[in-house]
Amino acid sequence: MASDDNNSIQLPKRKRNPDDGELDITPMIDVTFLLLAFFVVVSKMDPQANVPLPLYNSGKSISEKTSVTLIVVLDKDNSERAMIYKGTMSDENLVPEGEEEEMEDNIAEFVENELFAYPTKDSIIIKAAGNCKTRTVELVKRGVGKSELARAEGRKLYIGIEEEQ
Amino acid sequence: MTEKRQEGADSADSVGSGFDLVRPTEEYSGLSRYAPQHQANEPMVLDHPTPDVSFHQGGWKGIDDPEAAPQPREGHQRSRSFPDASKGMDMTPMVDVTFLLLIFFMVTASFTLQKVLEQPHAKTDSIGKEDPLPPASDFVQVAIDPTNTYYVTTQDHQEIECPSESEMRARVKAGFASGHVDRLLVVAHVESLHSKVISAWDAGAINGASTIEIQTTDHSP
Repeated sequence: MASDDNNSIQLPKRKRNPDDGELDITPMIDVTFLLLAFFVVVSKMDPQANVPLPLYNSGKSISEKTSVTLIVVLDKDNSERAMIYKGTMSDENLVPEGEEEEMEDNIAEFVENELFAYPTKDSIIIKAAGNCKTRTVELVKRGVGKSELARAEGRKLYIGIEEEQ
Repeated sequence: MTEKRQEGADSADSVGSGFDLVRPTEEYSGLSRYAPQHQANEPMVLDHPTPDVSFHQGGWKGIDDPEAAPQPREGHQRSRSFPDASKGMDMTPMVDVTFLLLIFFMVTASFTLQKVLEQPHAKTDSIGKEDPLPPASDFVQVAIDPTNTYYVTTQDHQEIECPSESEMRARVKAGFASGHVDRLLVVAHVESLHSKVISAWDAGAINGASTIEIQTTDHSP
């Protein structure tokens, strides 16, 4: 309240009523932005995530960064034709069609080069779509088996799966 | 302000007794409009005798309490939810969009970990060459034909056709339930689907198979 000696106008303080229903949501917005920033940073738009892997009840998880990846999918235009990619799904990484022996050698060369360039990679993952033929997956496995570095001690072969919900 | 008070005082005088208002004097001109005329407990000083009417002495209602809120201006209704210009813009749409973005990135996030199933390296010789089978009492065999039909062979050497995956899993479970079997052999035709092979593998893993082998063949079972 204004004193007699003070000419300035002082409004009386408003008492905050604890029974008032208003909720301060500032901390909630802070946490939300933190979560958003986290998921923006860790997520990556990965076209390889579209590979429909076969379902499995349980499996171990390994990091793709320490693995050589081979992707097997069916051609969208021709379901009889399987496409094998070395690493990422791009046209330059596509294994050219030909004799099985040639394709196996091509895959073996890729795996050998990758393991030589990145010695820390200790596994090979074959991410084959569930609708691929067993013949194609076995072809890729044989190609990997032809690489001496892939068969070295400590290096393992894995089949990529999707955990059944 | 002073004129209004004087007006009120004049009208009060003209009406007669009962208002018991103090005629404004010069000494109040420099004070706030909310300042009390006098202390709350002190009686008012009146020029004329007052009737014995009990009334609230002191300042206007609420002002005696220093914590009380200021009275609204004349003509304004006091409501609990009148809009407060000091709060600025409404944050609700921003929060909505933020949550939508959050949910979007949570759903689309693909982390670098991949679920995998360990398998032995394939033999480098061609398809069709089958290894000699282990003793019949040691394993359960699941064969997959080119039409993706399962055939489960258990200890009693009876090959049972399983048109559905659930039936295959049930047969494999029954085969392992005997207690003497701990190996699963999957014999898959090269034209069978990769997902069928993995399902058969999964059936063996669920039932505690210690060893699971995959063989491919171009002969139908």
